[in-house]
Amino acid sequence: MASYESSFLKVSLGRKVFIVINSIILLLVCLTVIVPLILVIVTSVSPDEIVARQGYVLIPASITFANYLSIFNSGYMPAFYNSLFVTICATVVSMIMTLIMGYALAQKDLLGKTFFVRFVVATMVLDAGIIPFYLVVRQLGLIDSYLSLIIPAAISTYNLILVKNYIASIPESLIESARLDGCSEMGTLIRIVIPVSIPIIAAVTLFYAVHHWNTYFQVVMFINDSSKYTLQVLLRQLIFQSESAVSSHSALNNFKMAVMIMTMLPVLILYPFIQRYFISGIMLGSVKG
Amino acid sequence: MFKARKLIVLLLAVALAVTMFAGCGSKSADTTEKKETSKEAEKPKEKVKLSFCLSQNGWGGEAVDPELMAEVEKVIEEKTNTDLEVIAPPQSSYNEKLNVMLSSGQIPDIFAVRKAMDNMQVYAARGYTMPLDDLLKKAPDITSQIDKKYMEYVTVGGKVHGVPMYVPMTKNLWLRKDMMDKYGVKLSETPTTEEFYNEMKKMADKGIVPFTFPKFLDNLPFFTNPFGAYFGIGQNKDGKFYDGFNTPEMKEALTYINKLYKDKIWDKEFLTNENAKIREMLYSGKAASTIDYFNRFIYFAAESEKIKAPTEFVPIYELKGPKGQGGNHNEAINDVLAISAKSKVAERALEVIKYYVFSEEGVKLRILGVKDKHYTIDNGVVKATDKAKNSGYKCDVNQFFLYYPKVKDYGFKWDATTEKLLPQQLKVNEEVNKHLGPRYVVPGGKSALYDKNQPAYKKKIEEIASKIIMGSITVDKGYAEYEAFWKSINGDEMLSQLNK
Repeated sequence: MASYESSFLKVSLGRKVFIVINSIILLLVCLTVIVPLILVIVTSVSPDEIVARQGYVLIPASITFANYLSIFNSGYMPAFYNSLFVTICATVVSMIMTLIMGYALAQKDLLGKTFFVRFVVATMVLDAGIIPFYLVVRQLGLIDSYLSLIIPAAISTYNLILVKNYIASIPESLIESARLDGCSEMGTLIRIVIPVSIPIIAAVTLFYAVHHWNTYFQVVMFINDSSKYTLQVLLRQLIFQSESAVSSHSALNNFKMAVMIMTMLPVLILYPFIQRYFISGIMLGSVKG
Repeated sequence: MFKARKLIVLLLAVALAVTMFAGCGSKSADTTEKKETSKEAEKPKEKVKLSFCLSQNGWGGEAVDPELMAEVEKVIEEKTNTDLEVIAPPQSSYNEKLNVMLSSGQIPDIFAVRKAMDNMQVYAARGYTMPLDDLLKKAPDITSQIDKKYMEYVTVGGKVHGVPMYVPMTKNLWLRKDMMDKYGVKLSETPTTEEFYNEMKKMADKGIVPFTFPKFLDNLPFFTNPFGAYFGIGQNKDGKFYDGFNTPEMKEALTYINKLYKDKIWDKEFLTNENAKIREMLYSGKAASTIDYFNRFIYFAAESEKIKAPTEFVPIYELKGPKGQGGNHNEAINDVLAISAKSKVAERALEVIKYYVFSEEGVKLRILGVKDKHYTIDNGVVKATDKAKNSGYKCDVNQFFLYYPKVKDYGFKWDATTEKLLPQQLKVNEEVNKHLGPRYVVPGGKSALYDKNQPAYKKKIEEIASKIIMGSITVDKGYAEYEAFWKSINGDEMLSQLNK
C-alpha cells in the first residue's frame, strides 16, 4: 500500500488526473452493472407490503424468502427442469457437432476446404427469416418436440469458426505424430486435439449453454404444449402479464425478481468455473484464419 | 493411405455439413395433420381432435402454470367431447406465433384474433378464416347474445368470419378522488374540454402527474371525439369513407391536447408508458388520472388499498367539445374467435367456442379455473389456492364484465373489498354504453391500396400526432409532412377505391 502511494506521488499531475478520472469512470461502469443486480436480489427477498409500495427495493428493510418457497411450489419448477434438460442436451449435441466439424474444417488437406468454409460462413450473413425456418422445422416433424430446440441450433457458425481456428493453431507435428503412431482420425480428435483444446472447449461450451438456456423465441415458435415450455417463456409471461390490455393480474415485483434470479442462477454458478479459460480460448481461436 | 484419409475427412465434412443444413431438406408428409379428422367430422358426436390457439393467459384465471392450464383443458375436453391440442403462446408473443402459423399454412381449428378491428379483415381476405354464417344459424346461443352491430365488424365480403370474445370494450378516464379533493378539482362525469383543462390545471406542478396516458396512441379518440374528429379512416353520414386525420376538427383536437401537454397536465413521458405503468401510477398516487377500461373500478380501488394509498376512483365517461360532441374511446370489439378455413371439424369447433366463451359455466371456467385446483371456497368466500396464487392467478371479478354471458349467481361470495365495490362497478358497466364514441371499420379486400398501406397510415398519423402533442413540430408543419405522405401512398386513389 505504501509503495503504491509513493509511486502514485511520483507520477506527473496529468497522469494523476488521468488515473483519478479513469477510476471514477470505471467505478461508474461497475455500478451500472452491480446496482441492477443488487436491486433484483434485494427486491426478490423483500416482503410484499414494501414492494407494493416502492416497486423496487435497493436497501433491504426486512428479508423474507417466501417468494423462493412459492416458486418451489409452482409451475415454474417444471419449466426450470425443462430448461435444464434442453440446455444440457442441446449443449452436448452442439459441442459434439462443433468439435467434429471444426476438426474436419481445420484439416489443411481437406478436399474443397475453401468451398465448405465459405458455405458455412455464408450462413452467418444469410438469414431466410422465421417463416421458412418454421416450415423446415414443421416439415421435419419437429414441432412441439424438444428436438426443434436442439437440432436447428446445434451448430453456431461463430463458435464453429472459433473452434476450427483453435484446432488449426495446434502444432501440426503433434497431430502427425499421433497419426504415425497409428491413431485414427477419431482417435486423434479424442486423444490429442480435445485434451489440448480445453480453453476453447470451455469457452464455447459456456457460449452454447448460455445461448440454449436463454432461448425464448424458438420455444415460443416451435413448442405448442405449455407443459414443455422453458423457464424463459414463463418468466416473460410473468413480466408482461400486466401489459395485456384487458388483464388485471400482476404479480408483485419481488416474485418476478425471484423468478428472474432462478433464471440467472445456473449461468451465475457455471461462469466462475469456466471464466479462466475464457480469454485465452477466444484469443487463440480468433488469431488464425 | 493418405488418399483414404483425405476421403474420410471429406466424407466427414460433407456428412456434417448435410446434417447442419438438414433443415433445408424437404419432407412432403405433414406429420401434424391428422387424416382421421375428416372421417370424424362425419360423426359429430364422436370425439374429435382439434387445435385451439389462445394466449397463455386465456386458460383459467391467467395462471402461468401448465399443470393448472391442463386442468382447464381437461374440463373443456370432457364437456365438448373433444381432444384438444392447446396452443398457448405467451400473450406478448401471441401475434408473432399466430402469424407464423397462419403464413405457413398451419392454421389452428380455433384461434383468437387480437385487435380484430384491424386484423380480422386482413385474415379473412387472406383466406385464413372460415365464413360462419351457416354454422351460426344453428347457434342461437351465440348470436342472441351479440348485438348485430358488432357482428358487422367481423363481416367481410358479406360473410361473418368470427365471433367477438368480449363485450364491446370502451375506455374512459379514471380519477383519484383523494387528489380531486386535495386540489379542489370539481368535474362531472361528462365535463367539457374547457372544464377539464381548467380543473386539471389545478394539479399541474404539484409533484404528481395530473393525467397519465399510455404510449398506445390509438387511445387518442377519447380526446378527439369531443371535437368531432375521427382518428383514422372514418365514414361520414352518407357512408362515404374519408381521411379523419386530415380535417380541421382533428387539427383543433391536436392543438387542445398539445395545450394539455404544454401546461403539464398530460404526462410528459407518455410515449414510454406501458399499460402496467399507467395503472401503477394511478393506484399508487403518482398520477391523479388516466385512461383505462370501464371494468377497472374494483381493480384500482383494491390495488390502491393494498399499497396503503386507498381512495375512490371517479369515472369521466366522455368530454364534451365546443359543439357538444363527444363519446368515449370505443374499441368496439377487441379479440375475436375465428375458425380455420381449412378446419374439417368446424361445427365441433363452434361448440367449443359456445361452451368456453358463451356459456356461464365456460366463462366461469375461463376466468376462475377449476374448483380445488385454482380456487377453493372457504366459508362461502372464494379464495385462490397457493399453487394458483404462486403462478400469478387471482380470483378476479373484473373479468366477468368482459364476457357476454352475465353470471348472476357465482355460487360464492367475493372478498369483502370486492363485495363492497361491486354495486358501483355494475353502475359504471351500465353507464358506459350511454357514452359510446364513434367507431368505423374499413372492409378488407375493397381497396388494394388500403390493404397495403393501412399499417403505414396508422403509424404515420400516430407519429405526426405525437410530434404535434409534444410540440416538436407545429400543426402546420406536421400537416405539411402528412400531406406529402398522403400523396406518397396515393391516398386520394385509396379513398376512391374504398368509396366505389
